[in-house]
Amino acid sequence: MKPKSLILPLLTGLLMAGAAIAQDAPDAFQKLSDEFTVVWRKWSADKTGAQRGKTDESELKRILDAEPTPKYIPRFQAGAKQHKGTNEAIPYLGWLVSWGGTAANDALDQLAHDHIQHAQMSRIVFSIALKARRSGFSRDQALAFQSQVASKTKDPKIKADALFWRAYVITGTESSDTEKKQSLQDLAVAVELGDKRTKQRAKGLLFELQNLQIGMVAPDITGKDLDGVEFKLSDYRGKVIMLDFWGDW
Amino acid sequence: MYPHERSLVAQLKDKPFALIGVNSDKDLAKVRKIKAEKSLTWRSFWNGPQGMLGPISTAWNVEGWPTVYVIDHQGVIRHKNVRGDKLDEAIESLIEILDK
Repeated sequence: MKPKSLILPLLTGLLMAGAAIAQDAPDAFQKLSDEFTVVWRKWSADKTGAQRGKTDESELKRILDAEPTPKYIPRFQAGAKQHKGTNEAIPYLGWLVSWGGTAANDALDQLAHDHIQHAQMSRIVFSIALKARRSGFSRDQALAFQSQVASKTKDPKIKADALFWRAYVITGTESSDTEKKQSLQDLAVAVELGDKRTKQRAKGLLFELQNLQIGMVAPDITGKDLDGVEFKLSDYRGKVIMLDFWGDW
Repeated sequence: MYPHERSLVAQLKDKPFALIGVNSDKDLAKVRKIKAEKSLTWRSFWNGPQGMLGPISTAWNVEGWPTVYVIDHQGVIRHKNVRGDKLDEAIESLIEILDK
């Protein structure tokens, strides 16, 4: 049984976030992004092949060192610089946020400074939330950007997204009680303002914060077992329960 | 994970302990077959034909599988997503309190 996540399919799409953001962007970005995607996939396949096969250590090291992202970062930075201040810079900056490593911070600053009203901020607050939860990105940096979007955007739906994904980072990382308390309020706002999907997500997270924390009485479950017999979680009160959400994948 | 679950259930069979699953496979017939073949003796809720988007995992805001909660004899959530030896320890220490 392998771990499986609903977020993962989203993330796979996100890996190509630069490309996705590029939908309305001019060809130069698209071309560069496509080129990178091809090169990266090839490298990734080579790496997997080498790790599975009986590759000697120096050859494996050579392949690992040939990771193509560092070569591309300056090219995307150049694109962002060339189009600085215009919407055409956004896909380059989005790519840098996803792939840029330490260059992501500058890209975020640029986005906050020049593009905070743009609809793509919805995607950026989401992509950094996932990365912050998996420690692929500084938590505080992600929260700071999300807060800026939430407070400055004029679009209530984007505000809802920023608030939701900030609460998502706060609940998934080590956070203070003040942050958690704030998250409850923010999620209530996200439920109010968000589009259908954000509303639903915010409701779920709100429920988790209010009912599924350590020290809280677990909500009861009523349902049928695999043989169709109805039972309740509370039927097992008096025993220690390991509740295991599983699937055979 | 099955071997771990099986050994937990076997090891704690005389203790006040229950492993309750929430199965999120869409195909009920397939799960029944797996349950028989792999001798999964513990009881599971079925999350329904929508699989991972079924009502129980949605209500519990589950986004990753497996997700594990450890609940004490009074129904209080005591641990979330502990794994491996830590999971065994968490369960055993809660049972120990009960045994006293």
